[in-house]
Amino acid sequence: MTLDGHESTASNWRSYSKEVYSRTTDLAGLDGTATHTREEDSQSHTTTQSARSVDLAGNSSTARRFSQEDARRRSNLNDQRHVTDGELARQIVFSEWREETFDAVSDESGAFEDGDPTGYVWARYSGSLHAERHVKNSTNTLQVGALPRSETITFDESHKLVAVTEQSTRSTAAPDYFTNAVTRRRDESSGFSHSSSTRFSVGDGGIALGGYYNTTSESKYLCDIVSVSIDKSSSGYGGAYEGTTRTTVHALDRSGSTDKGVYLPLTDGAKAGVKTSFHETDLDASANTQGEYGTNSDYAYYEWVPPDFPWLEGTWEKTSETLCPHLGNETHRTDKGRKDTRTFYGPGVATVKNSGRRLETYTIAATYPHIGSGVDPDPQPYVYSEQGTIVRVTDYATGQPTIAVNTHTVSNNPSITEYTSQEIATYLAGSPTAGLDPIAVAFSAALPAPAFVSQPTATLVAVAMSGTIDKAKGEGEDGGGWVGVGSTRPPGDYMVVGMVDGYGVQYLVDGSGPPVIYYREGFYYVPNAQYGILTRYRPGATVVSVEKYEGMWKRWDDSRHKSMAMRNASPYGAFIEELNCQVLVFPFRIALPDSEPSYRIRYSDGYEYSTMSPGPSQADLMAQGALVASGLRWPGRVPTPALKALPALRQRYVDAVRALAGKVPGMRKAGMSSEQIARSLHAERRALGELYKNVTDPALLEQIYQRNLTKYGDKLGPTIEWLRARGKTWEEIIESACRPGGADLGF
Amino acid sequence: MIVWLQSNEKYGILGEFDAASRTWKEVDRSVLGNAAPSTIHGFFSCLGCVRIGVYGLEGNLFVIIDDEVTELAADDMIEVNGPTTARVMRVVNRAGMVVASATYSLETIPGWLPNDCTPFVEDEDFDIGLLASNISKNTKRRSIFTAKAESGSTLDT
Repeated sequence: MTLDGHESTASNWRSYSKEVYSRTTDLAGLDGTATHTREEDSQSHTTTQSARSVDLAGNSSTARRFSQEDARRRSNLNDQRHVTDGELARQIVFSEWREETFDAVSDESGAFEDGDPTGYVWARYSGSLHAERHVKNSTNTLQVGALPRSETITFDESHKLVAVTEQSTRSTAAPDYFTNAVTRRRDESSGFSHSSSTRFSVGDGGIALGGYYNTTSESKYLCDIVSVSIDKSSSGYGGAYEGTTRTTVHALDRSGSTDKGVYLPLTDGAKAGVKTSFHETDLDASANTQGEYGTNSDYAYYEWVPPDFPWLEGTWEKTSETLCPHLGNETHRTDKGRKDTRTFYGPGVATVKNSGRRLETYTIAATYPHIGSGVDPDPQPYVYSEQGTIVRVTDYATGQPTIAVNTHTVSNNPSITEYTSQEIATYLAGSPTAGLDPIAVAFSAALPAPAFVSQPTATLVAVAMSGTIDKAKGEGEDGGGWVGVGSTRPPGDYMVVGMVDGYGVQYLVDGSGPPVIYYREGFYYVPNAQYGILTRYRPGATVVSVEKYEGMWKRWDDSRHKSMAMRNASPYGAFIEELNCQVLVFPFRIALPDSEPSYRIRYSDGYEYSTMSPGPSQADLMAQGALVASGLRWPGRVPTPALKALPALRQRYVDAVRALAGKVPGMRKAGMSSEQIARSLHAERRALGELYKNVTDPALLEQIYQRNLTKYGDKLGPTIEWLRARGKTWEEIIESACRPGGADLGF
Repeated sequence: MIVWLQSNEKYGILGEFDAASRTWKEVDRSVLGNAAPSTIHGFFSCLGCVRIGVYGLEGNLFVIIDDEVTELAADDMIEVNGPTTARVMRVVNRAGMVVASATYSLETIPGWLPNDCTPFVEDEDFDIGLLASNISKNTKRRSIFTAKAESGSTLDT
C-alpha cells in the first residue's frame, strides 16, 4: 500500500522494472559506455551462467528466473570474482553500482591524451565509520573542486554541508538536508570530454517544496526526494565522443495529489506522473565554444518510482546495524579500452538501491561446498560447482526473501548456480552447521583467519579478495587506494582491508593455505627534516627525492596511469556518497591553492607517491574541515553517522602524538635501547593524554577514566607493566605510543 | 601448582587457579592486601558460562577453558573467529587439528568507548581469545609472555 493509497503489486512492479531496464540499456547505449562495456566484459570472461532463484519458504516449484537484466548483473558480479577452493572471499561486486565513473582526462596543457581516456577512481570504505575516496584523475564531480563550474557546495561555519546546488536560483536548502541537486550540465568551455555522475539523497524530512524544480505553479507539491542522480558526459572531441547527460529524480509525493505519489519534473514543465518518461534535448552543438565538436545532447531521464516504497518501511534499522562495509568502487579500463567499474562490499548486509527501482538486500554469507545436483524443478540446466557463496536476496518487488547460491568453479569459469531451498536445507541438515542459521554461520566463518584479527593495530573492516594482484608492478603498494588488477598473481589471494588510525591497511594473503600476511601498508606521516615537509613513514626506506610542483594545475603523476592533472582545483574536495540511503559526505583535500606546491616523493626502495601538500594526512584533511557529514538521514530511520570536523585542540593533540614517532630515530641514534625508548615514549604519551584531556567531552572523559581505572588499574590506561605482562614487545609499545587513538573520529 | 591470573576486565580481580585440582577461585586485590601475589602468570575472562584463561609458565603457554588446561606445543596456535556474539576460539596443532575450543560471547564485555583516545588500548583488551591468539602467534611476544610469567609479572604500579 502506498502513502497515497495507490496499489503497487508485484506484477506491475515487475513489468515496470523490465521496462526501466530496457530503457536504461538504451540510454547507456547512447553514450556508448556503460552497458555495452559490461556486456563486453562478460564475454571476455567467458562467463556462463544460469540464474534461478527460489524463495526461502520453499516455493521453489515456481522458481523464478531472474530476468535477463538480473542475469546480466550477476554475470558482471561473477566477472569480478575469482574463487578457489577454500576461498573465504567476501567480495561481491555489483557492477551496476557505477555512478562514480568518468572517462575524461585532460592534462594541464589542455591536450586530450592520446584520445584514450583513463579515468580511474580509487575508493575505500569501512562501514559507516570512515571513508575516503581518492580520485586520481581530473575533472570529476566527486571532487568538489572539479565540479562543473556552475555547481557549488556550500558549507556552514562548522563545515556542515548546507547545500549542493547547480544554480543558486534553483535550489533551496536547509542545514540538515538539501532539497535540490545538480541537474544536467555540460562542459561548454573546453570541449574536453567530461563525464561524471553523482547521486544525492535528501533526508531528514526530505521535504522539498515544489519538488525538484520549484516552479510557481507547482510549488504546492511536497515531495520526499528519494534521490537525484545525474550522469553527465558532455563533449565531443572531433566527433569521437557523444555527450549525454542523464538526470534521474526519484521523488515521493506526500501531497496526496492525483499524480499517484510521484512528482517527476521535466525541463519543459511537464510531469511524468506515474509513467516512465524520457526527455531529450538538443542543447545546440553550436554552444560549444570552438564549434568543432560533435553534437552534444542532454538526455534527461526520469524514472517512475512506484509509490510503494517497501524499502522505506521497516528495513532500515536492521540493515543499518549490519551494514556490509561498502569497500568502494574501482574503475579501470579493460584492455579494450572500456570502463569496468566494480563495487566492493565486505561481509555483512549490503543494501543496494538499484536506481531507486527496487531495493535488494544482499546478505553476503559463507562459502558452502557443493550441495548436490538435486532435482531441479526448473529444467534449466545449472552448472556443477564446488564452491558457492550463499547470497540471501530480499526481493522487495515480491517481498519474498530468496536465496541464490553464487557458485564458481575453480577453472576460472564462474557461473551462477541456484539451488532450491530444499536442496540447501538438505545440505545444511547434513552439515556441521545443521540447525544453525546459515547466515549466522556465515558470519561466524566470515572472519576465519586469526591472522586478520590479530593485528594489534588494525581493525578489520572487511575481507575482500582480489583475483590477481601484481605486487611486482607495485599494485597494492599504495595503501591509499585499491589494488589494481594485474595478471601475474594467481587467483585466490585475499585482500584484507583494515584501518589503522584512519588509514587504510591492506594485507595480501595467500589463499592457498593458512592466511599469512604478505604485506601491510599504513600511512604515517613524519616530519622530514631534509625537505621540510611531512612524508609518509616507510620502514626501511628513506626519501631520496622530492619533486616540487607548483601552479594551479597540480599534476598527479601516477606510475600506473597516464599523467593526470587536477583541473579547476579548489582548496578542498569532497565526495558525497549515498549508501543505504544515508548521505555521507567525506572530505579530502584534493588540491591546494596556487600558493601551495605539491610534491612527488620517491623512496630508496622505489616506492613513490604524490601529494599536493606537505603530507595531507587524513587527520589533516579532516581538521582542515573541508566539510563533514551532512547528517542527512531518513526521518526516523537510519541515523547518519556523525563525522565531525576535528576541533583545533584535538588536532594539536593528534599532531603531538604523531610527532612522538619523529623522536625515535634520534633516540636510537643517541644509543637508547628499545626499552628505554619505549618507556620514554610511553610516559610521554600518557602525559599528552593528560595534558590534552580537555579534548574530550568531560562526561565522556570521566567515563573513560572510570573504565580505565576498573580495567587497567590506572585512569590513563594500560601501564607499561600491563603491556609487558601481556607479552608486548618494546617495539610494539613504541609503535602504539605514537598512535593517537580515537578511531571514532576517523583517525 | 597455583597460577595467578589477572582478570581481563577488572584490574581488582585476580583468579587463583589450582592446576592440580583444576579449581578456580576469584579474589579481590583489596581483600588480599599485602598478600596479593607479585607474580601474575596470565589473564582470564569470565564470559557468560565459560571461563577462559591464558598463562605462561616455565616458558610454556597454557590455555584454560573452564577447568581444562591445554598446554600448547611450540607450533600450536590459537585461532579466533566469529562474531562477537559467538566467538570461537580454537587451539590448533601443527596438523591443523583442533585440540581445544571454546565458544563465547563478548556481548557482556564493555568495549571501546566512543572517541576514546586512551593510549595503548587494543582490541585484545576486550577479547581474551584474541589476546591468547595474538600471543600464540607471535613468537617474540609468546616468549616474553611466558618468560615474564615464569619470573613473575607485577602489575602493581
